[in-house]
Amino acid sequence: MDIFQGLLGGFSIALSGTNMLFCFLGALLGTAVGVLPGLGPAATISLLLPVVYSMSSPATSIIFLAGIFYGAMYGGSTTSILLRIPGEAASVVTCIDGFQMAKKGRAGAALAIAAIGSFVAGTVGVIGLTFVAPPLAEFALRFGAPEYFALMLIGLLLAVFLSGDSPLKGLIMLFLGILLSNVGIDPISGKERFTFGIVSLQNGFEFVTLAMGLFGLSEVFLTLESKGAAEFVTATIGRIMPTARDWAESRWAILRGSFIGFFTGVIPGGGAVVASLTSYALEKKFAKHPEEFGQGAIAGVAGPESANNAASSASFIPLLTLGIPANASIAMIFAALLVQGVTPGPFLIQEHPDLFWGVIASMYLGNVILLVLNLPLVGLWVQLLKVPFGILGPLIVMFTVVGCYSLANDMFNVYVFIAFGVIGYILRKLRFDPGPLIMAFVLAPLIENSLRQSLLLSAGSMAIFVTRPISGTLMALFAAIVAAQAYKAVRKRKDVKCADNGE
Amino acid sequence: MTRQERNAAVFFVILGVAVVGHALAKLELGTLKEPGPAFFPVICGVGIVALAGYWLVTSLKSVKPWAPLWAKGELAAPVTATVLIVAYSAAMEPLGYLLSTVIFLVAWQQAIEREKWLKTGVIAVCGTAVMYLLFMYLLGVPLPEGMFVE
Repeated sequence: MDIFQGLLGGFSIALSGTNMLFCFLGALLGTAVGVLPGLGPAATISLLLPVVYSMSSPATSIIFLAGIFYGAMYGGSTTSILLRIPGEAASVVTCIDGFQMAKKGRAGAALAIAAIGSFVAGTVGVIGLTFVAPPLAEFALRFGAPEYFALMLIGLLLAVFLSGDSPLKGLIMLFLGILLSNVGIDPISGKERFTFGIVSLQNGFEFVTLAMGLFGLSEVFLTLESKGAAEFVTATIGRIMPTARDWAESRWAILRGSFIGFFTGVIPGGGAVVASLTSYALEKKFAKHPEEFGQGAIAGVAGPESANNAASSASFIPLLTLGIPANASIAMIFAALLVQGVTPGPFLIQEHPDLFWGVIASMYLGNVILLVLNLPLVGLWVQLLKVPFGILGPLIVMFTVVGCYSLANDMFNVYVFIAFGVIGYILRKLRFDPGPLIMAFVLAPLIENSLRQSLLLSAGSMAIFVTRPISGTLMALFAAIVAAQAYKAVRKRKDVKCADNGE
Repeated sequence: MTRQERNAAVFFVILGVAVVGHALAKLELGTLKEPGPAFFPVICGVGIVALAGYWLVTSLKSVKPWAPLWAKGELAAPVTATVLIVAYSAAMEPLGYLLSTVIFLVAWQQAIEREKWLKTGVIAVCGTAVMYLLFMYLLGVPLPEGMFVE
């Protein structure tokens, strides 16, 4: 199918009444969670999974979840600029100059440039997705079990090395995620694994309970700890439209941010956080007056906010073409697709063109909806910050408890959810990122199947992974990543030792 | 590495050993040609032991002094919330959604938020009603009615 023909078909799907409604609702909810500090896109998507599971159309459910994901990137800038509290992780760097601008009475300009940059970059990201995804999916059709095994290995490894602050902790989480997915009946031998005689565990842990507990409930616990309400820096937002000088200083930052975001977003684990940090560093380097960075430089807002939006669009590329989730939020969208009977990967474009193109087309629309929601209505979003967590917290808990119960009308899932909420809370207190765990949990059955199939094909020879051209190349890349990380770790230890010895 | 992290590393080593032990004792490992149900769990168990063990051994020299994970009084709200959520879940089937949710919201507002009774009542009744309408009529989720509705 021709790209333009496919996209046209996609627009006819995305513009249907129900899909338009859910695209709008996703964008609205995404902006809301982006605005509310503490509740990130991963937590929100996890909380809404039971709702999505009951939807009849996979395209509608993914349009909805995608809207939440990229909508959160838009909304995240609001609290960063007004409160110096990032609404979600990718807006951390926006706090630096955005808050300084707000202190100088220029919150309106900062919020506007963040929204416009997000729109431009989001659209650049979707254009990239439109043209890169189909040929990549076609190439991936050549992949067999060994190639998939190698690819998933690289995906998980990159997610660990690029996202968290400690690769070692990330790797432990990764193995734990695979282990948790092993619970239940082994699909090949039919034997029970780690069920300990509990009938409800025979089908393994429900992804929703795990995701809602580790992300949703643990988030509630963390927010309960620090209930100190932040104060607004400005009572008024000020002039919204940026000045001519603002435009001149921001336009290249927006463009550069868009491209950085797109390329980092494609890499698993690269994602929005890495994109925004890279963009900030680059803008500082390119700036005529780098000393203004940290004092309220508008390019320091425009670049990173553009980058995180481009990255969020681009992170759909590995999902829709290779079946590899690039981050925890995308892993939840991956799980939602699986539950709806759709396997993300290279066959998606052929088997479900309506879903593939419908989701892409909805992202073009979503970006326009988000610009309208964020630019003129910014004052309204600020009001949302005044809803106390005392009301929001128990409502979230109620929603999740009932959501878990509704999965099988069984309280067992609710208790599992609470247990994972507590585990997630403790893990996050100990600075373990549950992201790799969730990604590994989702990918583990596919990894196990492709490994077993590969070994069956090669009569038990591991050489199959290195002798085939594509899997061999991927394995070489895998080895190079491991070697680079090991070298980095050794260098770091050496530096620490030198510092300790006072050299 | 903090002391808590050291304890976490020890926990993961024990967990990994237990997983490998259980998998080898109860499940079949198989061969490389035909991997059995224990094959993957053993790989994971060994992986966890190796990583946590390496972390433990290489960081033992640099264990930092005890820094509490929670500041004074910080843990109270999460613990109270956990107790309330468990009690709410246990009460939902016997008491039904409506009654258990009203009680849960009242308990939350009083125990965690220390709200005034009037505000507590409004939040409890409105919150329960909104969620009831959302689940029953918009999402079509059947909610437990409880022993009083027979």
